[in-house]
Amino acid sequence: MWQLRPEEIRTLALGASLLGGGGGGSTRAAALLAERALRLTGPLTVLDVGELDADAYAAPLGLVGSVTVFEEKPLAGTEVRRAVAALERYSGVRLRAVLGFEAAGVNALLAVAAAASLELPLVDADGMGRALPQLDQTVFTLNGLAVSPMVAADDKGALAVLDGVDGLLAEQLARSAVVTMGGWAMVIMAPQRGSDITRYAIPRTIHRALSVGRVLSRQDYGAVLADHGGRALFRGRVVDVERGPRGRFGGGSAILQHLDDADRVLRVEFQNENLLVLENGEVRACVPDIICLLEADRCVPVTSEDVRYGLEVDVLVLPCAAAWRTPAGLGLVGPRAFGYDVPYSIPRGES
Amino acid sequence: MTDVVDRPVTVRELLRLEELAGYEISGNEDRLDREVRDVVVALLGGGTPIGRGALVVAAYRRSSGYEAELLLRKADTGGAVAVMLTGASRLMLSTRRLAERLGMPLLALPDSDPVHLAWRVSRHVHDPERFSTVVLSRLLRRLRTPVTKPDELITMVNTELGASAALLSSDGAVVAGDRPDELPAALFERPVPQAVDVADGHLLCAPVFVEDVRHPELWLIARIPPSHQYWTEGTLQALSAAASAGANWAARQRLASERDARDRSTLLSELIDTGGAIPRHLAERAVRAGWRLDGWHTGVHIRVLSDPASIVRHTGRVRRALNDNGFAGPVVERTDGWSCWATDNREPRSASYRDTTAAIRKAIDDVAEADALDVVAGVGRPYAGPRGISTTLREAREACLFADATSRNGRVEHVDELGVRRVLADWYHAEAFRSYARTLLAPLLDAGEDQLVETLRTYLELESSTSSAAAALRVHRNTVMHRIGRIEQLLSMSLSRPDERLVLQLACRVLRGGEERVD
Repeated sequence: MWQLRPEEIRTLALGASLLGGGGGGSTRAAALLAERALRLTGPLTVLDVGELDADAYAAPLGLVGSVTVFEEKPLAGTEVRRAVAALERYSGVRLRAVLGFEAAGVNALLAVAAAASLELPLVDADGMGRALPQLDQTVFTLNGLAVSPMVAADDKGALAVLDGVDGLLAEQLARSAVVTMGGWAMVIMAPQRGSDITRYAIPRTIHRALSVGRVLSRQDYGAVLADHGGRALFRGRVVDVERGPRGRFGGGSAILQHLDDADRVLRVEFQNENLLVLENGEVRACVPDIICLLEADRCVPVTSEDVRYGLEVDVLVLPCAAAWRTPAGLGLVGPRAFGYDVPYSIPRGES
Repeated sequence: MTDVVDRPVTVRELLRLEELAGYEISGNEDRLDREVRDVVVALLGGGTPIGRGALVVAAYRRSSGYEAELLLRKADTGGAVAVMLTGASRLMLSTRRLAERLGMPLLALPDSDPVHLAWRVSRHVHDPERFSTVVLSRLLRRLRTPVTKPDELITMVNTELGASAALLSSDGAVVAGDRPDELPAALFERPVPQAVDVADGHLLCAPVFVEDVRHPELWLIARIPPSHQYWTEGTLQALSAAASAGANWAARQRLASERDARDRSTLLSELIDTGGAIPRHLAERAVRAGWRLDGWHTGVHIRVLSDPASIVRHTGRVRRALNDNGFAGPVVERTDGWSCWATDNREPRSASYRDTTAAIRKAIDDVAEADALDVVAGVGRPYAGPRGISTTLREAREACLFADATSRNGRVEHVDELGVRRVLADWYHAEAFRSYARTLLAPLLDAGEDQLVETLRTYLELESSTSSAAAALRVHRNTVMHRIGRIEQLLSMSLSRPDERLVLQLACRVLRGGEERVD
């Protein structure tokens, strides 16, 4: 158990943004919300996974939909409370804690803000260990845990309870509700037992985001690699960007030319997140490993919508959670799940 | 032609195919000379095996452009010779760079079905001989409609054979199309279809025979990109077919101009033969031919000394030369040359005769120079009205009899300057006297003694002076005397008798065509 202090939120935001791997959305507005919530309630209690009673319930929550819309039309502040009340009433269990289903990008911060406003502890774990675009791409679905009943709440007072569906169908139903609700909604998944969270959830992801943020704010990405594993792939300038239909959400390709060796060219394929990196027709990195673009020298993570011609970036690859490297995990979030017909691989000599 | 080498086609050669029209190459152009042994369709990212020497065809999907890079890598590992992507309108930098790096020619093609494309290219790869049937049948289909202009023929060859063609006359002048940069010097010497290797391709040459079956009057030249031997041969066959269509066109042109010439000649003869008023139908035909019957006509007769058979072919040149020198009017072919006349509204002043003669002289010189045609001309006086045409032309013809390349006035005589010589003109005209003259001089002519005829003529022209004749002929005076003796003996005539001398002199002149002046 440890305390998350309001002044640590900016550091957390920086780390969560990098772990978003190009996705996860801009953390600016969510960081302000989380910081304000912590200043009102005081430091937030964060539980390590083993510290939650085996019979206690905690529910994963987060924002589903467009972060761009969320920044323009922020939370009303009541969404999470209404959603939790509805979930507790519907499922008949009392929540002891909450956790983010996606501890990267905007959702790492919204989990903090939600826990603070609910005055419940936050579990230091999540369902993705990185940013992923779909609700069914969590370790809960991977391990056959029910994610419904699921409640979606918008800022105008609407609540949608989805029950009886899991997996991709739950994702699709929630997605269509979110579209009708105006672009985003706070979604809280079915309460999970403490024992399941201990066993299946990806642990220490808030802690990791915080520590990554700490190193990054010293503008030292080398230390990120030293502390968390991973590799630096390339340092180049963006010389070509093409955006268009890719997968479910659209995306594009960015071409980078190496800053020191003009003959070297790297190709990054992105949808919401950076998903595939090719050099010389060979795969250098691919999802579910976390492919991050960092603005060179400033060490600021670059989201895929911010990639533009002329930008100088470092390309880093951080390892994903071990659960995703299993055949079942790769089936859910491997390159083929995103329409890239390549096998998941880690080039020889790289970790 | 070199021997046929049975080797596979290369990538560069395939680029000629119409199936690949609109391609763009990235990657290494030096590697285009690699031989293609097979064509395979690859599903991007799929497991199609790629063998050595394969030409890989795949559909490019813009939303998964990275697949092209994976394919390039795979093609390189498998030993493929080139990769073709259909529907690749814009390739990203990394794809092009990778092709360059691997030295793998990458062809971006307009949108088409890769399977269909591969099938069509594959037929050429596995059966290079097939190409000739394809081009030949395609060209023959186009040739079903006759060629009406040489430009049409050139366009046809350019589009159907994928060539850059030109129609040249046998002296190398361009009739249609663009002249190739380099023409082998020995090209026109052998009148057979030939293929010559030039930088960056081949030059195919097909002779076009119009009249003479040994000497082509035109050449159809086509420049094609580098091609497989079979393809070059096939294209040359097709080009020969096009050449015969060209010959057809030239023959039709010639026929039409012969017919026009005949129409003009007939019309003029009828005009000349008609005494008195011009009948209405003749006047109408004259108007249709663009001839003005009223006004003042100045006639010119041009006579060909060298080859009367070529008159029709040179009409255009003569007309142009006259026009260029300010003498514009009808030009009508006659048996020995052309009758031409210009028409003025008012009677030309007599001072203008000299200018007219000078203009005609210049025109005649132009013709003689440009076409190496030996011609002389006579100019008549101006006469008014429809009858004036025949009068002035008759005078022009008489004047022409006295014109000679060697005469003082050059090749042109004006009838006004002839004076007393005109009396003799009728003699020269008369066919009866011409045959009499031939009979008279037969003993000299039959014996092949041209030298004696020349001596006799010179002697008589120079007032029967042996010393003058000896000087003119550059022989000794005694030689002339000796020859005169032999002549008298052969002819059984005596030059001391005035009658016999006069008859002999006239006979000599008639045989020479009456062109000699009496000075």
